[in-house]
Amino acid sequence: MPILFARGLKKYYGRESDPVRALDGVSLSVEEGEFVVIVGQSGSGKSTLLHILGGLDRPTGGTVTVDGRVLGKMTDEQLTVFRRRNIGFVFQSYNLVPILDVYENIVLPVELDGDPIDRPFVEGVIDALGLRGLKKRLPSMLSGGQQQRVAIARAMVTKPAILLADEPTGNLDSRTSQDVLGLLKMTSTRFHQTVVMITHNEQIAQLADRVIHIEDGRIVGGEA
Amino acid sequence: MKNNNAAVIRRLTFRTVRADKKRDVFVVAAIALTTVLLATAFSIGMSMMETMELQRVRMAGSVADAYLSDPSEEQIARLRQLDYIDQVGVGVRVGGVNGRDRQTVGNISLTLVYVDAVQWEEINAPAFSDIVGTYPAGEDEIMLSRWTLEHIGIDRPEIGMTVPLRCAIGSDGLAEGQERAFTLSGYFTNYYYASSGGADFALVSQALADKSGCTAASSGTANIRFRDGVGRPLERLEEDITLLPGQELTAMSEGGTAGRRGSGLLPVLFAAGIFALCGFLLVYNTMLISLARDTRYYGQLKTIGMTPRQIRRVVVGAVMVLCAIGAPLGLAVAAVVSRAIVPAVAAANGAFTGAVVSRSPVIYLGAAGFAGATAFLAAFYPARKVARMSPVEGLRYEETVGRLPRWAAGGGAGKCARMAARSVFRGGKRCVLVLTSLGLSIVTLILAATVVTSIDTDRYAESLLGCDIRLENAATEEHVGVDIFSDALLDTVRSLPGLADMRTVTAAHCMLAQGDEQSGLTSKVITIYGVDGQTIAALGGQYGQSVDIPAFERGEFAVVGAIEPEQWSRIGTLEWEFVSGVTELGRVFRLPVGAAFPSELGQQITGQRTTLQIFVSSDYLRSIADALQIYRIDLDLEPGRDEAAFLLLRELVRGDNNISLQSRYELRQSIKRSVAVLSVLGGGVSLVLGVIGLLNYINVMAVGVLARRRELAVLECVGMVRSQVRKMLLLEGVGYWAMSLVLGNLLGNGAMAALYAKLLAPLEYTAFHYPILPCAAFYAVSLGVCAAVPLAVYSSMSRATVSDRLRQAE
Repeated sequence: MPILFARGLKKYYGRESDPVRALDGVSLSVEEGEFVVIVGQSGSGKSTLLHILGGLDRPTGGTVTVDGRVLGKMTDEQLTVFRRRNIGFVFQSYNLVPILDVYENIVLPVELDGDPIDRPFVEGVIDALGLRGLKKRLPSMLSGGQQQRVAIARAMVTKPAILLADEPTGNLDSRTSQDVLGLLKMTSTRFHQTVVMITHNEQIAQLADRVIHIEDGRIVGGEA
Repeated sequence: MKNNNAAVIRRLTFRTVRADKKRDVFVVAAIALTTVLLATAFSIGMSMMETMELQRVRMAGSVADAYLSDPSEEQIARLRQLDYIDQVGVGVRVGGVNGRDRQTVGNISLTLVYVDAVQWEEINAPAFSDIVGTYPAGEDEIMLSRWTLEHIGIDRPEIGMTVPLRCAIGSDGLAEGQERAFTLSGYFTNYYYASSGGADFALVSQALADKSGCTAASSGTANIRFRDGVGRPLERLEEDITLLPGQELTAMSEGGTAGRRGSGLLPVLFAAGIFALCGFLLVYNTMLISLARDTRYYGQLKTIGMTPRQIRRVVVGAVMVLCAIGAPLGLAVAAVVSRAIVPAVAAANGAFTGAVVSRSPVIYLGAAGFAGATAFLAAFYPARKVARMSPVEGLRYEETVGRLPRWAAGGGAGKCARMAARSVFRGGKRCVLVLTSLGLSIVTLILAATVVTSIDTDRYAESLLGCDIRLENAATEEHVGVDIFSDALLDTVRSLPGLADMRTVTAAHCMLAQGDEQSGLTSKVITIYGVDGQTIAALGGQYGQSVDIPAFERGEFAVVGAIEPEQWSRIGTLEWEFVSGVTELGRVFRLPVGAAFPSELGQQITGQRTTLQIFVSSDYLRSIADALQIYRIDLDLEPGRDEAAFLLLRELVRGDNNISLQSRYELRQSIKRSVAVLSVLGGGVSLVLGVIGLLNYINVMAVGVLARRRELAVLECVGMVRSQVRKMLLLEGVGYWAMSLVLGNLLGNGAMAALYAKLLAPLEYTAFHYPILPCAAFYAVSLGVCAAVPLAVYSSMSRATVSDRLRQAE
């Protein structure tokens, strides 16, 4: 049973008569614990696909099922709650909350849910990502690599069903990129975390258990 | 060789202006509002000074600075030679019209005066208005005021018409005269009667003056205008002209014009300072926000070689361009507002001689200058900040949070309240600006509303009038013997519904029989008043002197009001003879002086501050005088009955110019009008400052929420539901509101307590009332705005999906 299952995803923009087809009938499935990389050039529709898989956007057609729940049937409120419990995000531009320190950023999704914080697990993630000495710092006091590590920790803290990463190394230098990718791979293995990552970099794709190629809104290669 | 980069700077300046229309609207509105407030404040201040000066001049009937009584020819010639004197006019009292002759002049006292050309053109005419005709030339020509003409019964005067007057020509002006037919050569509006207790003057020709035999030295005055800037050097003048025995050199009014202007300018400058500060905050805030958004743009400009100085010139230049639009707009609105407000403010301040809407260029130049300086400073500091930033820093600029306040750090980040508090304080300067701006509007509101609500109209009326209704002989003291209260009127008064108390002051003329040379009063007619013990007890209470009231009522002693009360205390016994008609002539009455008060206190009974006022008990005066006239009737009515009684009496005495009717009801109505004007003014200022404060808030909050588009999308992305985001934003808005409320109340209540203690509490007619209603209304409105703005902005932005918002932000 796949943890993530998408069928016939379409996303059209603009006029109905002559729409821009960002996604045009994409279907894929991801098994639990898998590290999948979606590769595509700029404008190929990979970010749109990731946003729809994560419930940040709604498709024009098709369905997404995460952990047995169909996202399209949920209201915005239900979707948000589902997201904070089941989906973790890592963005190219980190997207940390500037008014919260590192620790607060990490535990934010748990606190928003009102759940007690699983401190041993959180501390384990912090240690694994090398953030022990940075817990009280604000995002503005961190380097790009450090911010991205905080973003990964935040994405993992709720033990989500899937972790979606949108070009997580896009803003980082090559050495830091290697560190971040290593950490992503390590967490995927160590915490048996399902990861779906998009990138335009074929080299990065080498880390993946499986690579899917996307072009002009369609899957053109790899095992979807 | 020096570069000429003015053209490119100018082009960039105008492009910068065009680039952000919303900011332009805010800045123009801020400068226009500031200019309106400044120009209106200056206009009201200047106009009120000119209005009060006009009233002083019109009531004096002259623009003279001083006058010299009975000047000799030599003295007049000497006055004209003195270099510090600008003009000398000469007036001669030619005769008089006796007030008892009701048939001719409606019981007013009219003095016939000849004035020379300088006196007429330079000294009298500027104090009059609506002058029609020419100064009398022929012996029978006369020029009268409209007030006198109305009393004579001429409502529509015409040049050349015959005006018959029974008058005495020559030095004995008060004696019974002969009927004389004058020809009206001119007429004018004056207000001299208002300061003279119902007396006026008629202008006659030099021919009549010559014929009368009267001269300046025998019964005239030299009216003097000093040159500008020399003040009123009376002591120097006394030495230069050597006063003759009995001559008086008197200043026309106390205090100099410069002094009055100085004291009037202080509150205007204070208000202008507050307005300029509020305007500064709004422009500064708008520019700070605008420049924060444009930091990358300025970073680019620096990267391609623009110097910090050039960037400052672009930013400041852009604001000055907007100032060139906003300031004239504000000035135009202020001119219209002033035209509407100044007459109301003048009337509320008791200016009945007409309001002057000042057209002094100082108002508009001053307001524009203040507004320009405000805009310049408001632009300069944000411009300097941008100009000092390094190009790389500018290019990479992203708004970050440097450090959180210690109290805000730690704790559960997920708690909306804590996150809201952090968001409020992340703005730093902007937060301070909003709080200052909103706080200032609350301070202004509290101060303005406290002044208005603390004016107690009942107390005001009580402080000005010692009874509910007063009927008084309105003729001058010289004519107090006229019996003006008819029996029918007295019967009506006695039967007024709700009448609780009725006190009368009777009066009779007498002449002092004792040879007190110092007082100089032995040859003059003095009025002796019969009053009740309660009135004397009240005067004694005010002066801090106890009087044996039962003994006073038994007629055992008299009470004296005098300019020098100590002198009259020493005299011991008063001796007087009544004039003809009161008792038989030659009979001398004696009464010890039991108490002496300053004439200001006696004025409360007599209405005039004369050299000597004699008060005896009513019963005593009635027992010694055969014929007495009622001088004044004081009435007290049961609560709520004074209005009806006043309206009834007003109808009864309508058209009788000799009876003055005053009532607390009328005074209450008049102060209510003044309070209404004050409310409109104070409310207007508070409203504008409140709007500025709220605009600052709207600006900061709207831009702040929009700038956090990505952050809010991220929060939703990681699981913050919209209701939680809304709650957080709502708490931010309420947080601004609550903090400005605390700040405004701390400062406002402190300032209000000081203002009340120093300025309002000493006034008799104030009673402290906290302005709960106006404050509550403002707090409710501002709470609504503070809560609604972030929610409205978030609502408009959250229509897009999280994904779209993340993309837009990138």
